[in-house]
Order: sequence, then structure tokens, then C-alpha cells
Amino acid sequence: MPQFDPTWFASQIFWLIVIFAVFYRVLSRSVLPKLGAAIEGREKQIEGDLNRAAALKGDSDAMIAAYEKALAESRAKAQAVRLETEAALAKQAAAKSAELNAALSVKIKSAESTIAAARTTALSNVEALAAEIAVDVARKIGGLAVSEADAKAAAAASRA
Amino acid sequence: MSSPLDQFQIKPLVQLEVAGLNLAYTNSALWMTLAAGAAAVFLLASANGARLVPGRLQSMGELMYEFIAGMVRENVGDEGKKYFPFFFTLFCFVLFGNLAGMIPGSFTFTSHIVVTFTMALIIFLVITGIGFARHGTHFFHLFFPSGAPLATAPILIPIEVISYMARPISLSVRLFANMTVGHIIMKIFAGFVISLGAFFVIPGVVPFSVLVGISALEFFVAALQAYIFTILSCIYLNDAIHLH
Repeated sequence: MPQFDPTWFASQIFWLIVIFAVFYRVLSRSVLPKLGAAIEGREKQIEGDLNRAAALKGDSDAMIAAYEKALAESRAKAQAVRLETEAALAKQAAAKSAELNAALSVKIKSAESTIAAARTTALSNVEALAAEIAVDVARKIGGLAVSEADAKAAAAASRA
Repeated sequence: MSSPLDQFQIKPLVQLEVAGLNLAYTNSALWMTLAAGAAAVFLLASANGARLVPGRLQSMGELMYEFIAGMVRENVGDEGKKYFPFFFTLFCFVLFGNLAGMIPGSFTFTSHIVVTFTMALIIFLVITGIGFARHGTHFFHLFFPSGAPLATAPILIPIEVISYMARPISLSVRLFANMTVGHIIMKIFAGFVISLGAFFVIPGVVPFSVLVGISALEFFVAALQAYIFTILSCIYLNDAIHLH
């Protein structure tokens, strides 16, 4: 086998060491630092981006919390304003209806007294008329002359 | 017909003799240059102008980077970080050497035991040096697992020492033998295609279809052996750094 021919051993070893050394120098000087830096840079960038995203998420969470707090506060405020307004309106309505009731009862009372007066007048008129009719009846049918005063007295007596 | 071993023949391209040593630039050296050059061009192209969002080339370069970085991290740990460029170079050199050998008419320098043994021996010596530098004489504990009964020492220590000394041999022979045998088989089946196809075209189809399958297998072996060579080196370094 040509592999075991010692003629070329020295040449093989010499060129192997020379070429390997040059190759090592090129890779360790020009290739590996750049590739390593690229990989490391990418890892750093990704890590930084993730951290920034986490920070931004924290910020937005805080904003949402603040917004919700403000919302709850304004809701409570609106509720308070509503209750206050309702109370004020109820009070006003109660006052108005009381006033109206008072005015109405005054009117009712005056109307009632008017009715009562009218009724008394009407009744007395009816009495007078009845006495008159009674006098006329007594005169025309019975031929009796009854005085109006007697008739009135009789009418009053019958009513009593 | 040429022998299936002809493909391993070294031919000098430029004669060079220094202090009586034959250091000729050969076809083997040429293919080392081409493989390392192709790897360097590919990796330089992928690393230059590296962007945040990688393109295809950069993705491939980063894939290799992360593959070897992960291998070193898992097998050696954080102490292995400073040796990462070496393992990356080793992996690329062997991988591209193996793959360049798959080009028809090319030369597979990883099929030469001198080449693989030189690499394995340097790795072995450097790793042993690192072990002694870190642990001093405590490094010898590598040859005697803590907790083993003292009575087993006469058996255990020679076994451990022999297995440790065999590391560069097994490491280099594994790569050399895989590449050599694979290429011989490919050549033999390619010879069958020619010799059978010359008589009748039809019988040539049979070894040809086998050759297609073996070629696919050889591509797999080329990548796998590069991986094994590198990961075993990582494991040896781990032993030297962390002992048992």
C-alpha cells in the first residue's frame, strides 16, 4: 500500500502542519470571531427585544389598571350625582304636590260652603213655595183662607 | 487495468528538499490546500458581513459553529471554550478532506495513516501536556480510578496506561481505515462496472447500482468520521481536564 511508503512521510507531515496552521489562523482570526459575534449579537438582540416587550406590557397593564380605576371612580361619581338629583327632584315634587293639595282643599272647602249656602237658600225657597202652594190649595179646594204665616209654620212643623 | 490502490499513490508536483528531508509539494499536499482553501473560502464568505438575520451561507456557517460549540460545551464544559477554535478547525479540515476525496479523480489525504497519525499524535501530546499543566503529578490518577480496591492496581494500571497510550493509534487508524477501505471498495465496484459493462452492457448495471449506494454511504462515512475524530478529541481533552 502506498500509505506505508516512507518516501513521503516527511513531506506529508510538513505540509499537513503548514496547511493546518494556516487554516487554523484564518479560522480563528477571521471566521470564528465574526460568526460568534453574529450569534451572540442575535441572542442579545432577542433578549433585549423580549425585555422591552415585557416592559411595554407592564406599562400597558399599568395604563389599563389606571383607566379602569378612573372608570370606576367616574361611575361612582355619576351614581352619586344621580342619587342626589333624584332626591332633589323627589323633594321638589313632594313640595309641589303638597302646595297643590292645599290649594285644592281650600277650593273644595269654598265650593262646599257655596253648595251648602245654595242648598239652604233652595230649601228655604222650597218652603216658601210649599207654603204658597198650600195656601192656594187650601183656598181653591177647601175654600179656606189660610194665612201664609200659618202655612209656613205648619210646613216648618211637618219638617221638624 | 489500474489497481484500486493507485488512488493512494503520492506524486510529487514541486520538488523540495530541506536538510536532506524530502518535503516535496505533492498531490496530497495539493488536496490539503484545496480542502482547507475551500473550507476557508466558504467560512469566510459566511462570516463576512454577518447580519442579524442570516442568509443561506451565514446560516450554514453558524450551523457548523453551533454544532462544534455545542460538542465542545457538552463534552469538555466551559474550560473547553478556549480550545473551541482548534476543534472547529480540526472538524472542518477532516470533513472537507473527506468530502474532497469523494470528488472523482481527487486524492483523499485522510486515507493516509501518516496524516491521521500526525494529527492524532499532536492532539494526544498537547492534551497530555494540558493534563499535566493543570494537575501536575495528580494527572496519574487518570490511570487508577478512585474508589477501586488497591489490590486491583497491578491489573488496572497497566490496562489504563495501555488504553491511554493506544488513543492516538485508535484515533488515527479509525479515520485512515474507514477512508481507505471505503475508497478501495468504490474503486473495485467501479472496476466491475467497466469490466462487466465491456462484455455486455446489462450486467454492468448491477455493480453500478451497488456503486451508487456505496457512494452515498461514503458521503455519510466522510461526515461521520470527521465527527467521530473531533468528538473523541473532545472527550480526551475532557479526561485530561477533569480526570475521572
